[in-house]
Amino acid sequence: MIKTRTFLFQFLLLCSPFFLFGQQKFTISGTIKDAKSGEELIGANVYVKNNPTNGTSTNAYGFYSLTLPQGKYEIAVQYVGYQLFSQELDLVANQKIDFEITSSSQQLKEVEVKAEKDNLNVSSAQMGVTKIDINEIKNIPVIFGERDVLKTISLLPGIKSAGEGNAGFYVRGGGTDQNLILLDEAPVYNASHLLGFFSVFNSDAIKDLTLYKGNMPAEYGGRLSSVVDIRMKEGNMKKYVFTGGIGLIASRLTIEGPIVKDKGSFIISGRRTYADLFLKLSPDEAQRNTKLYFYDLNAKANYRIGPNDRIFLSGYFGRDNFSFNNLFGIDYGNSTATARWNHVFNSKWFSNTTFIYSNYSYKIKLSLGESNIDITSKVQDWNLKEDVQYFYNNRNTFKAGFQSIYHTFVPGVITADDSSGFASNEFPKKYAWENAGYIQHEKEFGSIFKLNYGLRVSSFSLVGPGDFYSFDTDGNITDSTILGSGKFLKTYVNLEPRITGNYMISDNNSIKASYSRNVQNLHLLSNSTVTSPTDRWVPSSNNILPETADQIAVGYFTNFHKNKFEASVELYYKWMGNQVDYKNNAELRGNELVEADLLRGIGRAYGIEFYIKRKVGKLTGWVSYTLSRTERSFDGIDNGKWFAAKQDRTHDLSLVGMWEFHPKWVLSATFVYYTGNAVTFPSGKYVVNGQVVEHYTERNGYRMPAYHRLDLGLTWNRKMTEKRESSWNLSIYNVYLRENAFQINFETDPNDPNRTRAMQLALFKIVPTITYNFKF
Amino acid sequence: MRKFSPVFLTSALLLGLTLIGCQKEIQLDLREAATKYVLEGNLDDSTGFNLRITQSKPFYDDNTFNPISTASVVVSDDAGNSYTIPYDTSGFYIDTNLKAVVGRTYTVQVNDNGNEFVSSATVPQKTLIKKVTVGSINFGGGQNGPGIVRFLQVWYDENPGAGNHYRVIYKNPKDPLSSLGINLQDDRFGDGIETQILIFGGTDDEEAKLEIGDTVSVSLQSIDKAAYDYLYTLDLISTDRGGGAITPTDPTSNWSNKALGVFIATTVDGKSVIIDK
Repeated sequence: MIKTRTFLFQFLLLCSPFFLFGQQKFTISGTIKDAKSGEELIGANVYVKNNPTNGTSTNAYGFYSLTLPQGKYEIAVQYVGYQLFSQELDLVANQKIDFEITSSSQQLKEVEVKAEKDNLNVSSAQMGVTKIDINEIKNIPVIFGERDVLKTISLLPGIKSAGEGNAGFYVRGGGTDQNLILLDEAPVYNASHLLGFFSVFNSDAIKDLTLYKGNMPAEYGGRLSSVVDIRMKEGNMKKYVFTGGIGLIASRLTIEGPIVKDKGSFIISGRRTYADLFLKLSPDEAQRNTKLYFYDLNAKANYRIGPNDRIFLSGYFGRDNFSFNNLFGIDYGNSTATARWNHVFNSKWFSNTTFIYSNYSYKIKLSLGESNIDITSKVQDWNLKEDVQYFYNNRNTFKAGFQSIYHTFVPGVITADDSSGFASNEFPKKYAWENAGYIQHEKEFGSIFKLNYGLRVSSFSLVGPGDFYSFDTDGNITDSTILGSGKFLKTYVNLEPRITGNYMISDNNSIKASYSRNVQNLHLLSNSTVTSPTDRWVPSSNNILPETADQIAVGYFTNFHKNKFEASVELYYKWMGNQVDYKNNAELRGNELVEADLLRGIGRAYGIEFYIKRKVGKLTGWVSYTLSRTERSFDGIDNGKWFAAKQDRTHDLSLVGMWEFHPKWVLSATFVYYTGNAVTFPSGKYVVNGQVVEHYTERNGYRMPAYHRLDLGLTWNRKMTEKRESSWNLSIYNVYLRENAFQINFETDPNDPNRTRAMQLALFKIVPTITYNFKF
Repeated sequence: MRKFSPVFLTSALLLGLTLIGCQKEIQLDLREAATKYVLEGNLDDSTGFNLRITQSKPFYDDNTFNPISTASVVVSDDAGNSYTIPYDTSGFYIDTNLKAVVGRTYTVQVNDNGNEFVSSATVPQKTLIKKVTVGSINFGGGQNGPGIVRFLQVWYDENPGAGNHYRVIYKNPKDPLSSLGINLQDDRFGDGIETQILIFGGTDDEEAKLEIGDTVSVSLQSIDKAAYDYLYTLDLISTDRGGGAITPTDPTSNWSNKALGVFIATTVDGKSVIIDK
């Protein structure tokens, strides 16, 4: 008996961190919102005012949980761009407190920045992460007057724009398909409009954007390079608000308001281009019958069912439509739908259940003489996701969850007239089931060391029905398997450990280090260097193995001048396995056996990123510079020799400045400079088929000319009152008329057939745009 | 089908409508690769055999490619015949009497100063043109305006069984560049059906445009996969010309010893067409 007691006592001692003796502890929990709109704030800080390290921050739904010993406190609530809020509290029991805080004017920001919690970039365990403040970027100059969050992130270190007229971006040497872009947790497969000139995200409907450069927490998975987690606004809880803008290319309108005041709200945001409306005025019938537009529709509603339950419904629908005189056309777009249920079990347990639908599809129409042909293709996901967060105490937070996605790939359905000369045909559909479970723990050891570690276990199964083939190195079929419905062809299970730690040297200086492994089971096949709506997604299979990436990174983070400046240096090295490329002559479209044309190889990427930012004041902005290298090696390309990946850019520099020289006027400028992409140019020429043809040697052995550009923006905030806001924005893209090479073509000089020449094509010389924005 | 990419056309349309593109010649620092032999051989059932041998040269050299006249060229077939092909002053090794026989495999052996090159190809089944139809697209400017671009559809019955490849050679006497166009089709979009190859009659040169009353010729060739793949890549790299939309490579040659070029064994069915609408 005594023995048992001793044992029990010892056991309790061992578990003492979990069983708290002495002083009793209580938890305050709730949400933090914007006082004006009732919109929840993501990543807002709650802490004890005289001891800022004793605090926490809100999750993606604005929920926080803070556990403190019994006693009297002054609780502070702080968020970038908001006035510091504090409240006296006598903590004697678990309590639910919702805070509403007020955004501050520019002058106030200067004062409030002294709040010591403003060093989150230094003090958080996470590294390689960037948050975009939608309000902050509204003054950055833009092309065609469309604010674009994806274009803005490419101004940050380690993130590179895929080039002019391309909404894609490269993160730390990864390809454009290695970024997981989530809109309210739903993956967006093609994030570009107008063949890449715009992104699909209407910034009026976006509340928050968080980007992880490969060191993502275990809750995210499925892509190698990055996660862009975009959250839509919930809608104003207090009153109806109309926001909109009229630009040169497109117009936007957003309506938001309460369904029931402080209980539920909605937001509907739409955007459409109207260049085609001018075509309707053309006297020419062919031009009148031409369509050229895109539109987006974002809609979201949320409702608080009880004190502990809240449901959200959100959807996105966007489509591009081009067609010429009913002869040919293509329309394509994404649709996503998300249904979520937030449940607060008690002050320490938060759960979110999400049901997601995502679809990307395109349709090509051809009508020529007697031939009418339609080609459709899509990729579709059904996705169930459960996340549970446990705020054990202020030093330990746990998160766990699972995700299950059922993918359907429809590579191509061809519908052709009998007289068209083409047969109606359906290329076999593919089905895949992707599952993942994760657990992560954020732990603080005292106030100087923080650790965030986790494990993600992912599995990917190719599911029947379907015919599957194996190929030899020449692409000939060696074996085939016919799989029945519901049968599994192959299941890949991968462990993805993630760890990131932070050592605080002082209040304003820290060193961080991280390791992460990511696995990708969906692969984008594209042999063009620009985004095309017909690029094809294929699942991992018996021929395509899951792509992997292991990344290590270390960084030094510092804030100075009373947290007015933040700066960082990050170093990374990334190994990539099972990368996908194509054999020479590969035909990716309309090719049922496309896997026979693929090559498997490895990649490596490394670099150093510098970043310095002035956060507050009349003049704000940042400088970011990346020095990096990214290479690939494939047995089937130049005998496995390492070659520069097309996105390899030695230098990448961005400067962003915003100057509020008058309370109503903001002048802004961005300058970018980067080394030209690695490309394949000829090293000779010969004659065949009656014409001079270029002779190519090694892959990507040359460089495009360096790219640089200056943009200017001027914003006039005409009216800024409680009730009405309106502003004019003038943007000038490419101010000094730099002719940046978009393409370099080789040809025989038409004026002198005895010589060949290289011709450079530049897209934009200068593009001025004027936009009017309003809110009432 | 492939030539008529709606994505390409719509993007071209888009660029034309909204952007201010500008083109200029630039000087690049291009390396000079080692000289390679280029062998272009053709064997068909109508004009016989011809082969041209040239060499590659640096990009910034002139466009004069002198034919090599000193090689020994021997063609043999799997029926046991062997022919030595003489050099002709036209720059080709020619034998008009050596006509391709369907189903036979021909091997070409070339030796120039000890550099040996071998290639072989089998003559595919002959396919006949059923009909040629003419249509037009209006790119604006009224019913008979400058925006009218005519096109031809060359119809034929695809041979049943997967793995057939076709090519059309189109000649418009007004447009010397027309015969350089590479018009290909395979049977991925319909096996054993009546199908077509589409040819655009539009060109940059207004004078050379296809118009009512013109007489043009088309010939349909059945080719093997190696020839199709070669021409497919050749078309890609000569349309997009490297620097932009694709990562270019030399087309895969069916010659040994790393020679550039191709040997095509084919059957030909020609037709003359008067543009009537």
